[in-house]
Amino acid sequence: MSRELIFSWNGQCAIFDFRRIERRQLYGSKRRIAVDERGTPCTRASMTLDGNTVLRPGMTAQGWFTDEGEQVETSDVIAVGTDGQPLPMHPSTLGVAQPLTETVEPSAVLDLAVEAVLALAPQSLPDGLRKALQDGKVFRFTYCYRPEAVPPTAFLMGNAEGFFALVGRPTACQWMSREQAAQDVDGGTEDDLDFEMV
Amino acid sequence: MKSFHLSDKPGRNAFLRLVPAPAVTEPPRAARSGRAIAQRRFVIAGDHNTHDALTTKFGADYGQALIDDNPEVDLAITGSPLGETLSVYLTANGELCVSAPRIVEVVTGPDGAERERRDPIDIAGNIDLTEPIHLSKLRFKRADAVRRFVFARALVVSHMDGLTFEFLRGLAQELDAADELVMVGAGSSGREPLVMQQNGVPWRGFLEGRVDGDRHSLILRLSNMELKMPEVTDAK
Repeated sequence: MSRELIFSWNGQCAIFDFRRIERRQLYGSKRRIAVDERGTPCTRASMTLDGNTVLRPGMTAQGWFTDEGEQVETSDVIAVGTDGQPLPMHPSTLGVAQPLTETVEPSAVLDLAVEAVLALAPQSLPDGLRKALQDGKVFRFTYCYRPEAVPPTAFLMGNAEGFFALVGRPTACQWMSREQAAQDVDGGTEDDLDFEMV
Repeated sequence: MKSFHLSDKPGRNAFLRLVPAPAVTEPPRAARSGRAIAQRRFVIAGDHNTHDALTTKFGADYGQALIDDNPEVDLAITGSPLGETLSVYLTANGELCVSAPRIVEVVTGPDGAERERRDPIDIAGNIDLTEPIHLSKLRFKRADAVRRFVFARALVVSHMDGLTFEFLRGLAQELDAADELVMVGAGSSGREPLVMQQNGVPWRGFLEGRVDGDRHSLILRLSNMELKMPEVTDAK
């Protein structure tokens, strides 16, 4: 299966290679590790509360079980709606042209709970779409890496650095009124802006 | 709900609250047969059934041993449900650490190479100290901000009383009318990153305001990443 992101735009086709990018690739990272008295890294493990069993990495797993304790294979697990009925699966969108028909306001991007940032490298990009992205237009599209019941929302955008897609889940704005405070829910100069500090 | 000390101009500040933005919920799961299910952690192997143990006992090519005797399964514990457990550390030899290990901080560069090992420095939270979080002079149009920063978290700034409601509403109105986000920072300079709790992630904070009739929303958006291409790529 092709791994490109393909878009149809005004009867033309745009194709991007993509890869996920993370903060550590831009700024490096800091992590804390435990070492023994000789400076050799220790391994984190679990111990049962009775102290009888030490569970090393690779000795535990997570799975789906019925109330009776019967394990259910992952392939037999489905997503259901509020009515309990199975939700249809949305197929993967990789290699399948997704229409770019909807530009969005910046507030829609701000309301996205971002799950992944993708760096895009154009294989073919119509001039009109390139200009629209460089002019600051943001397009909504459906991004589904693997079949999912509720596929994430994604936004295609560009800046001076290149082209990107933000993948995530839309959230709703939480409003404040005079009478009621919010309920807890579960759920210098421009050159001085230094992300190395964070 | 976290306490948040904010100042929008010299001599004007208030203690407020931060509440998480509404969570995104996943649809519930069920078995294809319609039966209700839940996720549980369980034991899949004992000490004698791991890859390392099997390699030691049978050699690297232990496939035939799996077929002949099922040494990868310990019927006494395999499949046992796991409840609450304690976190422990094991030495490089696989022995239980009986005293607390030393914690070191490993710094790696964007290329993934280790740059430094050092004693960790504890960082205190700084969003509700006597020194308030200050509005900076850095403002970004919404359309520019979304194409420049990755906003990873959002918290809604909530009032404590009528006075703080007016304070926040005024700020939200001003930002909404200007279609801007303003960067906020900690410390007397107002330029230090925001740290929500002890040893928490340092964030760049930006306030966004929205107004809808009598309602408003002043949202603290947190970012620790710009939208730019890495120079070194180490992962697909």
